[in-house]
Amino acid sequence: MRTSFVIGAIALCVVGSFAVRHWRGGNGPAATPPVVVASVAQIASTSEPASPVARASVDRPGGVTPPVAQPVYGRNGREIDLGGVGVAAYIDSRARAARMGDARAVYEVYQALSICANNDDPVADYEQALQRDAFLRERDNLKAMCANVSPALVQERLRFLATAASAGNAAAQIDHYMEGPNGHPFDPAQVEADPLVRQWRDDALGYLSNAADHCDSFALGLLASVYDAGVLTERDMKRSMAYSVAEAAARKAAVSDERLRGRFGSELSSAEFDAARQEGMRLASANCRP
Amino acid sequence: MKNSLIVLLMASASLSASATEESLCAAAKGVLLTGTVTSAPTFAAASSTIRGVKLSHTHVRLVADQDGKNYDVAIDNVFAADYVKNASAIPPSLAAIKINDRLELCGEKYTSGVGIHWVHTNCGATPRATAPNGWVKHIATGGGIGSNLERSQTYCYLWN
Repeated sequence: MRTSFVIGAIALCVVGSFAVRHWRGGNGPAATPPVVVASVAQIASTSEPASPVARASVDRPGGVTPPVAQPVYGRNGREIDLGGVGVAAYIDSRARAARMGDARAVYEVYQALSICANNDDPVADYEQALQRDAFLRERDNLKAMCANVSPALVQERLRFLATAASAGNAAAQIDHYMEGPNGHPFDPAQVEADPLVRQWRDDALGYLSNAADHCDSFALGLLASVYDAGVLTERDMKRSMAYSVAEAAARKAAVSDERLRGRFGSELSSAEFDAARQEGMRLASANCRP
Repeated sequence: MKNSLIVLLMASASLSASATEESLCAAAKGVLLTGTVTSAPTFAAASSTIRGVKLSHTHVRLVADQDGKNYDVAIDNVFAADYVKNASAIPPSLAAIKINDRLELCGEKYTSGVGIHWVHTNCGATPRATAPNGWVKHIATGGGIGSNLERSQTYCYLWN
């Protein structure tokens, strides 16, 4: 009840204050845990079935697994650290800052609530029962963290997210895309019938473009995939390549013509290829500081 | 007579497409398998995490046309266009694979056991037999080959 009151108060206060503010930051892709240097050659090592050693970590004699601090992930896929408290207490601790118009606090409230967003979703068909059991234990832990947080509040997170995204928070803009319409996977068949889904789609493209305009490499990479996949919008390989070029530039990574031709050459004419490369370089030079 | 000619032309086009795919996979340093899916997709939790991204997989089983063996196909979720970071769910594009679907795979066979993995883009690196530029493609009833379901490079930054 108290948490409901706090949330309501935050919601009333922050929407107005963000209308005139523009803020970037939060836990963007650049704020992920320390870089693990790995080469493409290492990708394959993750593909084969779990080794006996890996399996042992979830299959201990006697079935007793000692408590290990597991990372907690929100609906947006980000690792979230609540500092050892539950979601309700975490939100309470940020209520004052959020009420004062602190955009970071609003985004943190969203993040905390997003921990509670997936806990009633259908369980995937797991290949191994042990992995499924481990997942269910993990989900029980998340449910415990979400004690005293109502489903209505969990849904309310999307309003906080929208507030942060419209204020220009790049992490929130990306999360809007990750969440999907109303927190569900995007279904293109619903676009015509459901104006909310259509609005989400338009906002998703706009927000990703906005984050890309601020040289967010992850947003640039997502846009390259979005225009390649042709699900969120019409397929456009020229744009996909332009965003790929800009994404590499944003990461200060070299991308050779040979690589680009291997990926896009068969679908673009020579003139389109050159134009896409130029557009990618223009995007990078316009939006990314040297 | 006319019908026979059409059938012959279709078979010829199909063989030609198949030969093209085979040469494309060879150029990508992969092993090409085509076959029929015999199990619905299942989710395999990540056994490794890079920079906060859990590398989960989707598995299906497929009986290969080439040798009749029943392959375990390990598909990296992170290369699907509709992968949601760290979701404990199969991406919709891979969940859409159904029993009796026909698939074409280009990847690396398991070094032990009957299976194939690395059926995904290698992020533009020079392909090698242990790191091919692989794919998962649907084969339509008429023989048409779909696009690679494992071509997203959004998360290639994890390895570059």
